[in-house]
Amino acid sequence: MSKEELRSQLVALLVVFFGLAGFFAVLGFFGVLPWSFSLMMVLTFMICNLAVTLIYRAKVAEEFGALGGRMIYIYLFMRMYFLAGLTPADAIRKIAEHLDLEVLRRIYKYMIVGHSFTEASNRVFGDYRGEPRMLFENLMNSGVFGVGGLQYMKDATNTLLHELDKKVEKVSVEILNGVQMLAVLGTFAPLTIAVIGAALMGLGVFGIFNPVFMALLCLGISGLAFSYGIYYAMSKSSEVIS
Amino acid sequence: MKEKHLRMLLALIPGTAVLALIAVAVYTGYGARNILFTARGAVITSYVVMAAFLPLGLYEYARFRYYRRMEHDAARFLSTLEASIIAGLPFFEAFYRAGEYISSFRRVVSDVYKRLIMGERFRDVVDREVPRGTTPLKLLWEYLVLLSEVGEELFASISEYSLFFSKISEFRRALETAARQALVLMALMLFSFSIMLVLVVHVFLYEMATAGWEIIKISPEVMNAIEVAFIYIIVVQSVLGGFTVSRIGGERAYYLPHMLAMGFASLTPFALVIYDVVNLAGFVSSL
Repeated sequence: MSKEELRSQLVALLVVFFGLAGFFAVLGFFGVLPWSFSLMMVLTFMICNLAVTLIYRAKVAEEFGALGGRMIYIYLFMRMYFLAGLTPADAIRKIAEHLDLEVLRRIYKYMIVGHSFTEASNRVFGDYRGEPRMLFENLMNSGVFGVGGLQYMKDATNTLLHELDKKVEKVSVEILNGVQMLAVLGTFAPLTIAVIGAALMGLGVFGIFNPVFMALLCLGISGLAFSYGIYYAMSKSSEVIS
Repeated sequence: MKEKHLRMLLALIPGTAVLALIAVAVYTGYGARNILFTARGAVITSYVVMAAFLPLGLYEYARFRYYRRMEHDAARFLSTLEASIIAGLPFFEAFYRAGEYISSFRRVVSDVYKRLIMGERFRDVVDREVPRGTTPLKLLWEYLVLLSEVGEELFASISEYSLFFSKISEFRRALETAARQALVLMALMLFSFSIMLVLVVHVFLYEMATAGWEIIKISPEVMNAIEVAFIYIIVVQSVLGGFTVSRIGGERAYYLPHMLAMGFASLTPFALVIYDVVNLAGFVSSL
């Protein structure tokens, strides 16, 4: 799925969730529904908004992040295919198949209809100027220029491996910090909500209380934290190697 | 059956198990609401859900353990292959010899070699028979196919590729270590969360609900809702935690069995208290 398609899906979901939140807020305001129930529904849809936004950001980061994390494989595959005498377009097609990379598939589609590699790359990456794009374009341009390119590719692969060596340590620490945070969020946030909620019920702050809804809310927050954790771990580990 | 289909089938088991449990509850007159939204029912449902995730977890564990061994041995396999080629053996003979020396490759190489003797093409056999699973293995098999097709022009690159594979293996090991550390962290968090919940719910809140403090009174209905939420949070945490930790190492569900085992261990204190095997509130009151 392309970045534009993802963005349009996100906007559609946000509009739906904001609409529903607004709908329940209006019903609660005019007394059609109990205000405590309306408040909880508004809160739930706000959490849904937060969840889809987080997932969208992780997805976009993952799309080009995966290219970065797999760059070492792209180099190795590309070197192998150029040594074997394949054309750049064929090499891109084969790599896209093996690594299941949508970005490469789209570049190949542009190339087979007659665009040069630079044009295809500009169309696919758009205004994205990250490190993966720079590495990939260098790689392709070197491959196009024959034997000198192969030597460049060998040096570049060694440099990339050296860079990865340093990055692995850093990312491992980042992953651990992230997991620590999500474990705290996924467990202690629902616990706090439930205990405070129960105490408020006991004090009679909320007139109407729906226990099943409260249980689902705690469960939703925990599930949200862990779903994000999965994306976080994926995007972080794909930065290094995947 | 294809790997993808088997994985889908295994992923369907938890949902089917919950539906079956609800059907049994309705049929026996226990009621769907009781099995899902009461503390006693939620304990049973949670155990069933976690047990139903076990086949998927064990399958992924076994599968990736096999792939990982091959990944770690890939560099040694290429070195052995290079040695045999330098010694003057034809490519396929060298390929077979290399497989003989590296235990994780022995079976698959032997199978491929038998088919080659029967007259099949190397690429066809590899495309059809060889399970690749992970990206380094895809790269390795594609490289071997190209070696067989292109021949001597590529033989000079074997030592280079062997070096690349050993580096990649190192990086993946580093991520595995990070994943293991995260697993320990999550498991400890899960267990301490469970023990804390038992204390919070069955000592403090239970007192509020039954003894009836003057300031705060909590109805049994609220108590039940909180208990149910906490029980399901343990399930969510162990299942999604298993997937999360596995993703760090780049796998699907390698650590799911570990987290499920921790989930079982964490849920047991809850079950013991809920089913009155241990009367924690009574014990605290008697102090």
